[in-house]
Amino acid sequence: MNSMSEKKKSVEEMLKGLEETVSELEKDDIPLEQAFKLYEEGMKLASLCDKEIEKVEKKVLSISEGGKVDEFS
Amino acid sequence: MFQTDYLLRNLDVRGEISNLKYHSSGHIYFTLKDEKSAIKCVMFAGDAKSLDFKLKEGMQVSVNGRIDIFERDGTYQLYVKTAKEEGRGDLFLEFEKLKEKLCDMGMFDEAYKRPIPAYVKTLGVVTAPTGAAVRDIINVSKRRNPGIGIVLFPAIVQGEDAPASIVKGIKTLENYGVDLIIVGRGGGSVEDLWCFNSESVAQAIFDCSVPIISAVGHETDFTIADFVADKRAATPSQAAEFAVCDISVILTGLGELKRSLIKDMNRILFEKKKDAEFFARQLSALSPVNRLNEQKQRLCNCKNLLNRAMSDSLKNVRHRLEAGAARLHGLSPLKRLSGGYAYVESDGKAVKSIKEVKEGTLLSINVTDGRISARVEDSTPYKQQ
Repeated sequence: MNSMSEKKKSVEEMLKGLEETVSELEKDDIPLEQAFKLYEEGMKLASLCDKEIEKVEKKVLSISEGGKVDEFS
Repeated sequence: MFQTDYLLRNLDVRGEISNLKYHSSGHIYFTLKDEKSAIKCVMFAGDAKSLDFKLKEGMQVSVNGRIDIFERDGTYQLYVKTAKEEGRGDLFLEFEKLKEKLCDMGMFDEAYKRPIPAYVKTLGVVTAPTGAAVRDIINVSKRRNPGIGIVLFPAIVQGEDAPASIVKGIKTLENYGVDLIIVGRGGGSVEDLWCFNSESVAQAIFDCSVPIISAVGHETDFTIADFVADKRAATPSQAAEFAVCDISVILTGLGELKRSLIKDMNRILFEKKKDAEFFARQLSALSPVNRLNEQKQRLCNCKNLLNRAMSDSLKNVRHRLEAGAARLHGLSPLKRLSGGYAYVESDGKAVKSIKEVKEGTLLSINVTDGRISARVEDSTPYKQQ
C-alpha cells in the first residue's frame, strides 16, 4: 500500500520530500544509522524524480469529442 | 456619387461601438453596429479633439457625419464629425449582469481556485487548432520543457457553436486525464471573444476538477471565463508560461539537492569518524598497556638503583681491601731488619737453630740494604738458666 502511494508521488511531492530529507540530514547530532537511512531515501527519491521527469521530446496530440487521439501537426 | 447625395452628407447613426482603435495619429477607427447591421466609422483627429468623453468598446453612441468611399479598400464608411454617448451597450449590460450573477453564486471566490501545479506532465489545451494562439502555447511550452505532453482539443472559439464546443473540450480533456488545462484563443473583437462570456463555459470551468488557466485575447480583454478560471493569463503565450515549468530550473534544483545530500552525508561520516578517533584516543589512554609500561619503568628504575648500590658496595670493599693491604705491608719482615736485625739463610732456608749449621756452612745474612755471605766458624748454644 505504502509503495503504491510512493509510486504515485508527483514530481513536486518528490522534490518537497527531497528538500525535507536534506534539511533533516543537515541537523546536528543525527545518529549515523538514521543518516544512512535518510541518505538512501533521498538518493532514491532523486533518481525517481529524475526518471519521472521524462526528458524525451513528446508529440502534440489532438483529441476529438469521441476521445480519439491523433498526432497533431 | 456619395458626395452629391444631400442625405448622405449629413447623417445621424445610432449603434454600439466595437473594434475600437485609437490610432497614434489621433484618428479613431471603430465599427458601429446593432443586432442586424454594422458600418465602419472613422473620426479624424481634428474632430476627435472636440469629443468630451472617451469612446469605449461596447458603448452605445449616436454619431453625426457623412458617408463616403474609402478609395484604398474600395469600401464606404462613415466619417464621424460628432458623437454622443447613449448609455451603455447591450452586450456590456449582459456581461455585467452575468458577472454579477456568477459572483453572487460564489463562482469567482478565491476559495474555489485550485493551485496551478508546479510540475505539469500533461497539458490540455482547448483552443482553435489553427491560428497564433495554439502555436504560441505549443512553442512556449516546448521551449520550457521539451518533455511536456500536450493534448489539444480543437475547439470552435467563435460564433454560436463556440460555447458548446469549449464545454465539450474541457470535459473531454478532464476525462482523458491531464494535469492542467489552458482554455483560450487569440485576440479579436468583443464579439469574437463573446463565447468566453457564456454561462455554460463559466459553469464548465467551475465544475472542472482539473485546474484551468484562461487565456482569452489580449491583456486588456477580460471575460467571464477569466474570473472563473483558477488563473487568468493575459495571452496564450503567458498561459503556457504559467502552465509549464522551466525544466532547467527543476533539474538544477534536483542536482543541488543531490549534491547537498552527498555533502551532508560526507560531513556526518567525517564527524562520526572524528568522534570515533577521539574515543579511541581516550580509550587507549585508559589501556592496561599503559599500566604495564609504567610498571616496566618502575622495574627498570629499581634495577638501576640495585646496580648502583651493588657497585658502590663493591667499591667500598675494594677500598677496604686496599687499606688492609697497606697495613699488611707495614708488617713485612723486611721492615724489621732496619732495627739492626738480620735474617739468616742457608741453602734458601731460614736458620733457626745451631743444629742446622756446622763449621764451614755457607750463610746468607740479609740486612735492610743487601745480603752478606759468611762461613760458620763455631757455634755455641745459649746456656740454660
